Amino acid sequence: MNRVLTLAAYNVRILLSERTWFILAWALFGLQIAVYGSLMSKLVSTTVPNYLFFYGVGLMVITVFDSGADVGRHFVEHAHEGELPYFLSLPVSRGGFLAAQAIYGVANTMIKVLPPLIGVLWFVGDLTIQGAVFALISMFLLGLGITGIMVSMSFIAFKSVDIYSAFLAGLSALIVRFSTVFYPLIFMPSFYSPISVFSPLTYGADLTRWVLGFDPNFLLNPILAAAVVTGVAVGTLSLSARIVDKVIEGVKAA
Amino acid sequence: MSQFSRLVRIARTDFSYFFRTKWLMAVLISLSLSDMLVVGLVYGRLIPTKFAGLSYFQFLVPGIVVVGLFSAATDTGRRIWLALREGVVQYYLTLPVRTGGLVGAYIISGGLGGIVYSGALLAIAYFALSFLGTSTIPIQGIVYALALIPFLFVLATGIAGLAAFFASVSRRGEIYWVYAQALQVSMVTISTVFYPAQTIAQYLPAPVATIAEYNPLSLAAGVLRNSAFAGNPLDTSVLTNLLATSLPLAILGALAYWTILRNIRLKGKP
Amino acid sequence: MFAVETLNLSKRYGKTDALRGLNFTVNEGEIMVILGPNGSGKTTLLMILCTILKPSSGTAKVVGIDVVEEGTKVREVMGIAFQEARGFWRHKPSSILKFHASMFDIDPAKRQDLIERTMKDLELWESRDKMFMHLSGGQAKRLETAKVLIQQPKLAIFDEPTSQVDLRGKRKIWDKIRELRDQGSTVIVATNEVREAEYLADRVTILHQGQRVVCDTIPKLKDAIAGGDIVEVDFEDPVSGKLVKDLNGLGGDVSLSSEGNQLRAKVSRAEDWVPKMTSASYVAGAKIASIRITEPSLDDVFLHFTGKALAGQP
Repeated sequence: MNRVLTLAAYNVRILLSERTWFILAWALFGLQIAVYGSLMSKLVSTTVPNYLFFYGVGLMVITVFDSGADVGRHFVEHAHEGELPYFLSLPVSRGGFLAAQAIYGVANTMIKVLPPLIGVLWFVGDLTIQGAVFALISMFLLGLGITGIMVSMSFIAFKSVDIYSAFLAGLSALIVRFSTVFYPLIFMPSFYSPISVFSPLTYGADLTRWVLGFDPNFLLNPILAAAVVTGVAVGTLSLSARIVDKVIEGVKAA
Repeated sequence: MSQFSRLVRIARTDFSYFFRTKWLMAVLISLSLSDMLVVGLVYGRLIPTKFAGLSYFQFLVPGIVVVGLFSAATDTGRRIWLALREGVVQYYLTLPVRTGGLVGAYIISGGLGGIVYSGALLAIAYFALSFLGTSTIPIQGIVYALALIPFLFVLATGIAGLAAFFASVSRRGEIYWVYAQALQVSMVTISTVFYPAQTIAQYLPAPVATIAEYNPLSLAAGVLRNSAFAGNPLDTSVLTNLLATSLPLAILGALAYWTILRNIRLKGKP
Repeated sequence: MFAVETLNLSKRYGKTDALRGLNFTVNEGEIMVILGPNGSGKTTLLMILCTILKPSSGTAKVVGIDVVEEGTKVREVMGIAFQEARGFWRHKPSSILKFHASMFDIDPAKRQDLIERTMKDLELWESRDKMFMHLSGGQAKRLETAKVLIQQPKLAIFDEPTSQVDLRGKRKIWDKIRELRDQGSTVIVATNEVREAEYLADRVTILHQGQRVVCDTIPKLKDAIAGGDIVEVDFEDPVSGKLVKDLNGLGGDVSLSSEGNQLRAKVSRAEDWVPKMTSASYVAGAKIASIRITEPSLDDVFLHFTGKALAGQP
């Protein structure tokens, strides 16, 4: 256990050394809320009341998504920089190794999301501890699911980093844009809405909005959303553990 | 072989590098198309207001073309950073080309990347607007679009210059990505790509509205909307402003990259 | 006119002097091997000659052209294969070579043939469909060499051309470098590898702490080491003390084995000493059974001039 924590602490220390990233990410988050969010909320005010709140949560969900994708990229970079074989040679079980990655993922997500969450809730005048905690739990579950998906896909990178990057890029473009991150499902054209129900972000975003008290008429059924978010988290994490366990042994440092 | 033809060859090689990076192509194409065909369409349903006779979808699509130009041109910065990291810059420095020629080649290839990629997007946009936007593109709009190519090329070199500047001042690769992301978010957000100038002026402080108005991305999006899509004659004052705001960026980038090459010659490293 | 000439050439990085008033010349049409431990200034010198680096002071000329004043002209007549291969990561080897050939005005009609032949010669043809980033270290190094070979510059510079290359590949590269010299190019090779230097060098320059220690042909450098050659002589019978005394008078350091029939002599030039020794033995009536001569290695030469062994220096 000690070694798992040491490994996780090593990853987190590297993460914390990238302070510029965080500060800039928060600043850009603020800029997008203050400019894009404010102006778009004026333009859509007749169709979606309080769109700024809706958009703010969407932006946080994107941050969670990016953070999950970061964990997958981090894992792939380890492999390609030749560090993975070294980590695998350490006296830590494969499960322990994955747990260390997960701790890194959680820390990464929390650091990136917590200040924006407080900022958004304060900006829209709905800052309560209860709301913040529930929103965090919802986004945490979503983050686990995204991390699971990304790590599961990382085996592609052992064939080609290019294909992995292309796949991730394509996936993020589709998963974000076809979801309810920026707009409610009821406004999606009928030929897009069937696709959006396959995006985990749809459920994560709507669940977070629901726990924060957004008008449920614009959202999916919260029980369904909670079930899907939890299911994706548990399912993809188990899948990633199995896939990584199989793939990891044959990994070659590029 | 003249210095100029060598410059062109280097620019062409660097330009081809942009299209050889398959994952980057996948990123750009999926982002541009989904922005145009998903985000544009859905927001079109959310925003019933017309902007100077344009639906939101019609308003946004030219903006997406400009964002595509921006993304393709900023890839110059990534290529400069890679060339510095992989030592290709040192190889370039052994070629019989003047330092100024190398700098020019990078800026031109950034401009070419921007114009070729946005040209393709423009064609898709015409197609999308004709079939999905229920509007017809006037023939003079296409003529104006062709006339706009040199101006958009200058804009792309300006953006490439800005990216070159950030690549040159980034000590570590990761920092370049931070700068690149910050540049993209701030330039696109504070522009009239997504919302009209009047909306910005109405709801945000005057300095923000002024920045958005003179942002070269706003100018390019505006001229595309008015002329390339609506078929109105080209506005020379907007074109002059576009050149006036883009050229200094290209010069800034050229100077920064030139300084990097000079540093390599003097210190052995950037 | 020298193919390369430097005068009081210095390069300073911050507080470190990489080159300190280096005077160095290379004759036209020769292979000059530069030997030196890491940090001796080899790469800095090459980088100045190929105009990547500017010297802090002094002058350097390539075929009479000043590297600072007329850098572009120098680059037209010079080609370099870097120590670390540098290529466009997403281009195939042939595309990299085509670009290089076009930059140096290689006749377009002959370009394709030349590239194909060079790639085959250097065993790169099988890897022609791989992108540069997927080449092995050895393949990338061979591609680096191929660039200079197709260019056939007046001055060809190779910085450790065979590091990471297998033994077969090394021999091929060395032969191609000699071929390049035979076709009229002047060649500079910087290396740490003794076999490479011995195989290639017309002359060797030893650099140490940014200065030229010595420059000559390998045989002359070896001869310059006092007591460098070791001659071992077996006599059929034990020899007299007088003969040993006479042999010591010929120069060098002669010692007799305990059995009295084996001599070991450390001399400067074995080819001068051995005839004198045989005639003295003949006069003394001592019958020689066998003679063995051992030359000093280039490593010994290096050690002699710099006080350091050649390989593995920090």
